[in-house]
Amino acid sequence: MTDLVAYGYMQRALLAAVLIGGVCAVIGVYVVLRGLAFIGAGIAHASFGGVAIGAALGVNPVGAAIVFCLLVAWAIGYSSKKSGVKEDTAVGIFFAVTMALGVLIVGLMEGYRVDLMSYLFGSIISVTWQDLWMTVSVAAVIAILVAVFYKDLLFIVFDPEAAIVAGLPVELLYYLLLSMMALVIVTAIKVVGIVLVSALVVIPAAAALQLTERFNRAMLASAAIGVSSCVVGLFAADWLGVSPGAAIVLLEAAVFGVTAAVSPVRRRAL
Amino acid sequence: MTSGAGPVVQLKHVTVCRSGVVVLDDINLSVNKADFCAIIGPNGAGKTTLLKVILGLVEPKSGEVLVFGKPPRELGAQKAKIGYVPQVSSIDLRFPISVFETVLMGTFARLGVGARPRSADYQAARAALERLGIAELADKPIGRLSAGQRQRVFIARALVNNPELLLLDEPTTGVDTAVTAGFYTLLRQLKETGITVILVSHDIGVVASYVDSVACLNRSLFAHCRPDEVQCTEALRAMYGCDVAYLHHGEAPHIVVEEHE
Repeated sequence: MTDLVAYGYMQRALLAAVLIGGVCAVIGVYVVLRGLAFIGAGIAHASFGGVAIGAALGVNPVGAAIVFCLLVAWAIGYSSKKSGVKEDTAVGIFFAVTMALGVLIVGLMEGYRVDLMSYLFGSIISVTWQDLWMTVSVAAVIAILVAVFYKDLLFIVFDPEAAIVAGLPVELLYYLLLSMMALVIVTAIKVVGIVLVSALVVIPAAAALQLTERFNRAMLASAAIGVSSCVVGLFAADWLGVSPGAAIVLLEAAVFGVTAAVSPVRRRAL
Repeated sequence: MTSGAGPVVQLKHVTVCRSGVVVLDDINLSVNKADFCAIIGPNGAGKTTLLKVILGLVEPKSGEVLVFGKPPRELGAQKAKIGYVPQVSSIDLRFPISVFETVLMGTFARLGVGARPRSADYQAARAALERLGIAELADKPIGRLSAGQRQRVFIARALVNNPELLLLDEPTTGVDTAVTAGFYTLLRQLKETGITVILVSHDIGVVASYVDSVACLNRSLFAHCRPDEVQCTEALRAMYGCDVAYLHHGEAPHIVVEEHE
């Protein structure tokens, strides 16, 4: 296994897995506690539209997807708050419309050979230095934002009304959280793909919350589960000759199964 | 302490609509400093909405709301002078947070976004826990408390900034009678220290023996008076639409009923 790391592609894949597994899991704790998992899935699928638009315009598809997903995330947040549309209905609409847009654009571009499978199911082995540079930047931005707004995001997730009463800019912080989700999700698509990415956000956090009743510990445990699942899943996939994305997600699911079975939180609640 | 000599909370002809339906109709209410006022009424009477209007969470369609002499949304840093105890049902009790962390959140009102709590804030949180006699629960997750303990946690959070106005939404829901009595005594003590207390409840009988004034609400305000006077007004019958158990509050001196219609 150590021999694998000698290959450049494996080094890049490993670094990307560690960073993405970590940031997804950290954001995931806010996402799971605030009940935003479905918005995450919606943003992930919207990225397909973003990738297609980027390809059509001849710009970096991931960059285009980031911009597009930020807009979609804000639109979901806005339409569920301001118009009477329920949050999950808004996601359900954006989810399909943006996917359809992507399919339409790709279909219209003659001779364009976008590797759709790599966006749908990820291709961590083909992470380029440019991808990696982007991943490092996003991870750094997320780490700084979480460090600065840790307590404020915790407050709006725990008790949004009291946060408004306390004078916090709750709506702005909610959009910040949606933006962080969009950034993280688009970046993580390289690892597990559009279809599986919300698992990287949701499962480690859900598993961590089975283990502890403290927010800060849940965040640390979630990051540890996310990073280790990505690393172990990557090596296991290489060894077994299977898809890394699928291996990582199934491994995380297994970790969740174990934590739910041994959960001190759940047992104390019974 | 309070800015100006006027009432702490004043509502003038406040009307609130939700999806075209009037939920609060021409409400006039004035609560003075160190008053202990209960807003009572049946479910769906608009009690919580009234509280949210005072908190600035709900914008009235018409009328004027003044808290410390200003509209709630223009309070700025003065927001820290309001302590708010939400309905327990609005809180996710499985949330991974300890009693101490919950109370510490009370300090975030004056900290501002991005700032970290300092030792003075930790001390304030500890002091609030001690004031409510729950210091030994500091490390417990909030999901592992009795209803009475949990209620003290959220009051401690509301008291961290030494507020001048305390607003409570159905604070006795799910709490047994013995604990409820102790709880009202506690609010009474807070009132004695000069804090204005406004609580919303459907628990008419118990509330009446502790508060200074009762506002009877069912979309409109039927009476705002001393608790012993509510029994002889038409207010309760009008409010509930039938005869109800009347209120008793023996020793309080009689003052003029303040009718708002």
